[in-house]
Amino acid sequence: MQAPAPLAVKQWYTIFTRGGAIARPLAAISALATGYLAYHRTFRHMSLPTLQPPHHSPTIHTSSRHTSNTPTEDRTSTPFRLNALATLLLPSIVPFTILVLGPTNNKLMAKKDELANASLRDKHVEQFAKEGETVKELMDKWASLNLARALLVGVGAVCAVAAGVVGRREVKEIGRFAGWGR
Amino acid sequence: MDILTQKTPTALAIAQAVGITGSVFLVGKTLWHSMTISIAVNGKIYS
Repeated sequence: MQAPAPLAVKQWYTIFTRGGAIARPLAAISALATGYLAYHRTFRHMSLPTLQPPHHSPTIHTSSRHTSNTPTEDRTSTPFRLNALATLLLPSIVPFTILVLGPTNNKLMAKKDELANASLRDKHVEQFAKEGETVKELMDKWASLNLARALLVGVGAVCAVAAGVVGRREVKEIGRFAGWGR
Repeated sequence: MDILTQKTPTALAIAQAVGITGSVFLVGKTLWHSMTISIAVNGKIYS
């Protein structure tokens, strides 16, 4: 490790506290947004028209007659499922942080306090640290666990993006199938 | 009402933009932190 342990653990602490201050509200806001979209598709989504192939359907029942705020059977739609999955995954970083990252966080916090007054030039500052509990090893472990956290929100983000793309494509395909927009 | 000519409701569009932007930013930030710490520890991304 290039930085001395007391400095490195301070740097980790800065990243951890600033990151947490941004990540928690951001995860909550994103989850609220995807949750709203999932809710809308279930309970507020306008009923789609009853589709039949154009040669069989001189009349297409457009949604204006079927528009309602009552629950529709849209829970099986891909955008709903993707948005619902994103709503679960995005805030899951909070329990993940507490349950999985928590022990490593606590050890690093204790190290920060322990090394608060240590000299940056003292290379033997951690000579009595237990195996696997030096600042370098703990920070390395934290980086790996944080990567797992990135995977959680990564899947959530992919779901959010895919829900947007699939939702738009579905609407266009329905429109093309029904011969709209001509 | 023709669903193709019907504009996406503003609230939905905003929610979609917020959901996508927020989650993508969150991924980037989390990855960046892992890389920063890993570089600080190992001098490279992963040993």
